[in-house]
Amino acid sequence: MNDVAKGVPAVLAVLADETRWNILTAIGAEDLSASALAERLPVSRQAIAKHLTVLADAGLVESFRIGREIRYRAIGTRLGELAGELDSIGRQWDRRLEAIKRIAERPG
Amino acid sequence: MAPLDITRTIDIAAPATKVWAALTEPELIAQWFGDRIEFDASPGGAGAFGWTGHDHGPFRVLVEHVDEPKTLVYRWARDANVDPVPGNSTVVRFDLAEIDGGTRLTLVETGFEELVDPQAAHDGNVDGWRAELGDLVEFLESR
Repeated sequence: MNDVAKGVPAVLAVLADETRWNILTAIGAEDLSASALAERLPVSRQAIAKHLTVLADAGLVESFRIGREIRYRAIGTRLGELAGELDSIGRQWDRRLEAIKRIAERPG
Repeated sequence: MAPLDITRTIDIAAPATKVWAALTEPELIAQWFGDRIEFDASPGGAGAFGWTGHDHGPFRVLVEHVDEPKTLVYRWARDANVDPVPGNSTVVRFDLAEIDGGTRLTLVETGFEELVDPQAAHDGNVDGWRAELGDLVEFLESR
């Protein structure tokens, strides 16, 4: 078993949690502090901190200091890009579905 | 639900037949996607979604499942001018359900993990991620 194969189950377990996936998606789009993540996601700052530790242990995110703030960034550029791409496709669908709604609700 | 799937739901104050028309009639599709639309809403039916004045051709569509006015599934190519097959396309599924005062429309787009990324070949790391994400999707779907 090579290193990548060994790493797969661990990464799967880490990413199978929806909150962690959402955290990773957010960090993939931009570097954020735990407080900034807590503002964006419906999860407490304490829970965010725990998830960030798990993600960091799995090698998916790393922390760095800017002034007095600790921020997190995603490791694995492609994963971040992919998350960003999916997010953008989702937003396109939001617009399309709004248009479909307007079309269907038109009288006549 | 796999993280790589896109899922959206919207409640529409109109009967399912009107929502169905917006999803299947070319002149109505043209009001929410592109502006030059061909679409045949029957199993195996082909379609093409494109824009006037764009150099590249339209995005081709292949209908996989039709249950009027409840479910519509088609595969659409991510690149212009190619027939959609696994690896170059994703699958779009619309489900329509009757609710109080109208229709709940659910959209699910899947198959992103199947997409072949030409850039991936240049970066071993990227191959690793792609393999892991593919495994991830299988793992989540098998739960």
